[in-house]
Amino acid sequence: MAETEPQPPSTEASSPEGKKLLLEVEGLTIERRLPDGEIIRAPDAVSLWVNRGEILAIAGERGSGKSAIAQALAGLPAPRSRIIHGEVLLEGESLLKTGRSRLRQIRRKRIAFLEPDPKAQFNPFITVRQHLRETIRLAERQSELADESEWSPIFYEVGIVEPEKVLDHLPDTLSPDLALRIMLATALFAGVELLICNQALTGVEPYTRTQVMNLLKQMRDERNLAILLTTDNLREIETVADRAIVLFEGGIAEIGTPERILKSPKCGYTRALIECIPRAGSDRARLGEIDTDALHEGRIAVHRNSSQTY
Amino acid sequence: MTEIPTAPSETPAINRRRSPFGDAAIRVFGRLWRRRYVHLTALGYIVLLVLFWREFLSIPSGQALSNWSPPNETHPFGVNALGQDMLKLSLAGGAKSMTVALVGAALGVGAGILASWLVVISGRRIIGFWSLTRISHWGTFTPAFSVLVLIAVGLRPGFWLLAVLLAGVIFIATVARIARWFEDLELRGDTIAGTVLGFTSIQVVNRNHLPVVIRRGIALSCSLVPGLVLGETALSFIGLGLVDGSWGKLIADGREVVFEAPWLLIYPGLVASLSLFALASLGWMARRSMNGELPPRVF
Repeated sequence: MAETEPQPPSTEASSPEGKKLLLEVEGLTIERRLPDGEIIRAPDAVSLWVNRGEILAIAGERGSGKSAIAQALAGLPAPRSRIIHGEVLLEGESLLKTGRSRLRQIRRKRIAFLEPDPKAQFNPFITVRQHLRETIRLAERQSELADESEWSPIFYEVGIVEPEKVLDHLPDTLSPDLALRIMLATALFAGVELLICNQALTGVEPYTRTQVMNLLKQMRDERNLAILLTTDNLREIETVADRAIVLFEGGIAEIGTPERILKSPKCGYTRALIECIPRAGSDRARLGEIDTDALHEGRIAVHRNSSQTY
Repeated sequence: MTEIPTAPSETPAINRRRSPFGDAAIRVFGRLWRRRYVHLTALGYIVLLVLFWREFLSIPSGQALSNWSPPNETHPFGVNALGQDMLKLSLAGGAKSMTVALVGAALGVGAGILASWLVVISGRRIIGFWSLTRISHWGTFTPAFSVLVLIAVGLRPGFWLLAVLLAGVIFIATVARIARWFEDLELRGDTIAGTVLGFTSIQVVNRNHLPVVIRRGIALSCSLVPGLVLGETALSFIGLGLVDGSWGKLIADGREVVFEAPWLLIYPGLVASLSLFALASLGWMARRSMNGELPPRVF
């Protein structure tokens, strides 16, 4: 049975899959000045959407514009770059045009953002307990989470079984895996609706990565969380994503369900990218390469997709 | 029939252990040689000889003053013409020189941190950082010591004025680096995390960046103190710094009577050299620690 392709969302904030639309990006174009003065556009006229209770994965090579999209969605300006066109709507409210204090309110309560090095994301001068207390205060959830006995279920949910042992630690003394779990707990403490994982699983050891991916699926199902995951590892999108986008040179080369993308890719570039994944037990002497034909096909696909609205 | 080779009676050279002290001395000399310290020192002596060879050769007919006395059990560093103990004078001079250097370094680095912080919280980062960097670049091209001498000739500074002058030199030399610290910290993960958590940019700067910058600033001040002590000593030596009792003044006074009463020159010079060596080592270690390295083993 052929899988159905995802369709663009309708205007009344409800996606075709029947889930409620949370985030919508229309024609986002970010211009970036490289140190040598060259100006590149990545992403270039990218449109996408994320529903509640859905994991959208954006895959692509380094420099394809994944992080720029993720940062724009959290309203973070990247250095030496500017948004020249496009719109980011969170339940119809523009994140790019809204005022600073309103954006701060949205970030406190609705958006969480994870970066690759979880330990570096803590304020190095305060303990985990102070960090979580601040999160609760900013998200205005003191009434629900003022008592520390209320915190245990959240810690168990992210796989920390003895939270009292970590609460008084400074971030320096945490292991990277534990820090990642605490950052995920921070998102749950704030009660966010959108979790942006900007290559957050890069560099995490495989066992923890599998656990965290399962955890993301659990959070999606139980809390109806919308998760946007950017990655350079196509295996991650196969395991965790509901829908996936393959970015190439700032444009969308392929969009669809992970199974469809990995089993029957339409674009030659995606096919070449899949060939580059190392597989256990494979008898290939060397990994595949992305040749000129694949690049050409990628550019054609990007051009075709940029004329459509997703 | 071939002879069976016997073991050599002497230990082969490769197995011979060198004396640890000799080994260390060779290693230290090798490092100093490779980093051109030996060359620099030799060059310094040659320049001194060329400039002052007449004074080294001629013996001045200095008048003997009744009050001075060479080192003895009561006064290990000797006594000067006014009957003052040279040990106490050297220590007091060191305290003065070091205090003015420490205050100057702290004021200069503090002013740099304040200026960079004001730029950051004002929100005009690009133009602000650019301006601070320009100030530093222009200042670096200015021969700071000559300017200090000119100002000192005009103003005859006391303690506070000299400290402010030194602080100005330090401000110009370090403000670009401090601004760079703030710039680099903006790219750190906790800045992004703090912003998404909902802190304002000023809160993020005050809570996450400022403590880091202040710690680094303290380490930077430590590493700048020996240079400033040397600068202050040089100013006093030519009679423009703290005129009453600083190291440079003591050494300059001792130079006048170097052949009649060498202890007046040798002991203040020795105290100054050892103190500067200790301060430089401390600053060196502080700077290494600031860069996240382990403090080096001195021996």
